[in-house]
Amino acid sequence: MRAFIAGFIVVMLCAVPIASSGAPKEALTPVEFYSAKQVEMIVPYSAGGPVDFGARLFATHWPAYVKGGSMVVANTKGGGGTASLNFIMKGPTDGLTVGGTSHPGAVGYPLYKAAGVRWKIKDIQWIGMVYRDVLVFSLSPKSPYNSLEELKKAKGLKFGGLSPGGNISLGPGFISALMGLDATVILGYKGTTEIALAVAKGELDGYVEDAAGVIKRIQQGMVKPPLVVLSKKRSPHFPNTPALPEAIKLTPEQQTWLSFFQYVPQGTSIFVRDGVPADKVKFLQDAFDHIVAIPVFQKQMEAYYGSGSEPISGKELAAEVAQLASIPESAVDNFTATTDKYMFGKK
Amino acid sequence: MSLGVITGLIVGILPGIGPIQGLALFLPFAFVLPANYALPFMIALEAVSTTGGAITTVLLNVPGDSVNAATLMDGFPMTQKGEAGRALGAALTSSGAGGIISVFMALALVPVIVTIVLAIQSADLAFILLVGITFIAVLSKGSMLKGLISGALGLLFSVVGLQSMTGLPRLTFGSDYLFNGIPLLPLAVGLFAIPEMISLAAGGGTIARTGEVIKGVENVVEGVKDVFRHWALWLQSSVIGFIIGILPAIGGGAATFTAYAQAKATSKNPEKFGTGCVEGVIAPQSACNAEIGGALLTTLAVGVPGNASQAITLGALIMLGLVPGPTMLSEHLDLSLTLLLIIVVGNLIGAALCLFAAPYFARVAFVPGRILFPLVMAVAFLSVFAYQGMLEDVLATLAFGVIGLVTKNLGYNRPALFLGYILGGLFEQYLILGIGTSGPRLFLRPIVLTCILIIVAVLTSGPLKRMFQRRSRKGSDQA
Repeated sequence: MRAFIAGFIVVMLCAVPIASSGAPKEALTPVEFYSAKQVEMIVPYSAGGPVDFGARLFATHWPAYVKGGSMVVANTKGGGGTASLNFIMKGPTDGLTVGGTSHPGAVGYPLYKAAGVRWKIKDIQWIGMVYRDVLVFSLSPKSPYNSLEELKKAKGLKFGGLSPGGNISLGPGFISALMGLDATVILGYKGTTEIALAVAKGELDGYVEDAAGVIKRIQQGMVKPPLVVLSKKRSPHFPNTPALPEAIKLTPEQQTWLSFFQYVPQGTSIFVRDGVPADKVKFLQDAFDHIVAIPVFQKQMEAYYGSGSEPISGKELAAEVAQLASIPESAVDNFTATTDKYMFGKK
Repeated sequence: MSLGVITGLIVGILPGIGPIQGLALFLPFAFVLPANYALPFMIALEAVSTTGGAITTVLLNVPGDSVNAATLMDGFPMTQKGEAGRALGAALTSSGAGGIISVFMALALVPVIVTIVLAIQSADLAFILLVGITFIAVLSKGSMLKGLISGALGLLFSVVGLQSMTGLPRLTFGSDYLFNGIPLLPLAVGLFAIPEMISLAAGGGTIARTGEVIKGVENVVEGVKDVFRHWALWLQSSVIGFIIGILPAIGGGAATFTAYAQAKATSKNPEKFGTGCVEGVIAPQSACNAEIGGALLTTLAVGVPGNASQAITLGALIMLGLVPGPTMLSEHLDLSLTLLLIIVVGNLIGAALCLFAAPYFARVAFVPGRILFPLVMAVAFLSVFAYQGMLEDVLATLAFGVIGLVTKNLGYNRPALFLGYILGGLFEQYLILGIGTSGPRLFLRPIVLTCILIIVAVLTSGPLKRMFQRRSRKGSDQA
């Protein structure tokens, strides 16, 4: 009798999951799906930097839109940097893995054919850009030069860069090429903070960084106010600093090169890989639009990035990035070949 | 602040979760809490996490945080000798005291810190790191050749990944996992923890190999007294940790190993290092916490994070409307001093709590190996998996465990290997930057010249000493 009862209980315990697994499942709507799941946002960089901050702030406000859902940030999962981006782009397509990365990293590296990149720009589905900014070119407080004209007469200028293929490295090379400067871009610094510190020390003569970051550097006494904005329009952070076309007359090809900085602006963008279903992408984009409009979110963004740093919706971002497809590959190759002439080790 | 201390100790004790992960988890709260709650929590957490990390390091040979790796070299051997309580007493006291003295050093340097940091360029950093690499020779006990081979292997490990200047992959064998180099935690756990645990499992018995049960409290008190007996060593190591802390981007791992190597180089009994010598615990643990005071000073005064976890604190400060930098100390001197003093109070509370619990922790050394081995291995592999959430890290740990076993059994020097790994990549980066920015003139820089003299002194001191000893023996034989 006891054996019968025990057996009956065992059979019932096994029958329930077997029976439910056989039953047809109704497809969940994106709202139902995300309300019951945890989304993982992979940030390819260490915690604490500006990209991580924007991504984390977004993740913090996720439950405000997705009741019952959660989003956690995983730093450097996949190995960090390019490896993490490769990891996201070959990961699952269930919509539970989201990338929160530096926009130039996601777009610039494949555009400029950086080593180790295994994704294409067209494979990225954009959710939105948490903040957007332009690059400005600034000099060291120890530099005797105060204008672009004075730089033309200088000898042996040294500017700082990160690894090859990023805007921070290409920016000084671009300016040097436009003006025919006697300059070298020293690559290999680990971050813009390190470059800014080298500029403050006088080890470097100048560098480029996003405008919101340079405001803080000026307050810290690390750099002089910028000489030029690497954009077609002025920055709201520096309304008195000319945009590049105002300061230097550009040829049509050079204007195309300038558009790389416009279509690959600085900022933290959120994306998913290709293959994630369209309804989930739309849900994520709607969530993004809702979250960036939350007053508390905006206040926290302004506290960190300063005013004038606007978010961009996924659709707008996709349209902007699509502009890159209209630029012939030869223009990109000419651009990198021209700027390479100023890179230390390639001169 | 007290909550920050407790959280920091827990975060430190749990391998694989260090202050960076602890602070990152706290960041969402920092967005909404007032500054006078958020900042003390964050500073206290970071100040004591390596104190907590010393516990697992000493007892289980699993580094609580990567910066605790240097303490493995003598901490765990002391536990094996049945002196777990003494090792803990020494580690916890030297940590706490190192953190406290670093604040006083920071206060003394407030007027000149900006000048100091801005005077040190990439070329100088490269040669400071080369001095650290030279200590590989010091760490090589027994066979100098095996020590140098170990150091060279560590340097080889350090070049794996994308090269910083060219962006080209080196020794990645097409694997994305290795793009950013060999990760530190799997290397440390595999190299140090796994060989010891396998030895324990194979040999049986307990971690403590002595049959004598030494009373926990007395043992701990002995360790506390050791720090006072070796006060000059504690001070020397704290200064080294503090100086490395004020140099951005060098990091705590370099501080602890450099302090350890310097302690061995200046010890009257260098042959005892690595066998369970209390000085080998005092030196790195003092440097661990002293580094934090230096890093915080650089973060506040220059506006550049002194180490990786300070990057998170810097972000929190910016979000709270503060702009760390030269004006921070003048416009917000009260806040800056408060943050530094939190390190003092945090270390006092943290060390006291841990010392109170140390006699109980020390009993782990007498738990049978058949119970401890699976538990420690599970904790070690879970911590490695928690590091980046990747199975590859677990596989890497196994691979380095094999390397650790082989190097241990063949008499190669694992600390020298680890030092080469820690410093090699940084040295290459700063050497390239130094050559790019200074050119051949870098050899005319005073700091570079001083470092070259130190390197020559370190490399020649041993042979010169032996030469003089031989001459004086010959002279006394002839007499």
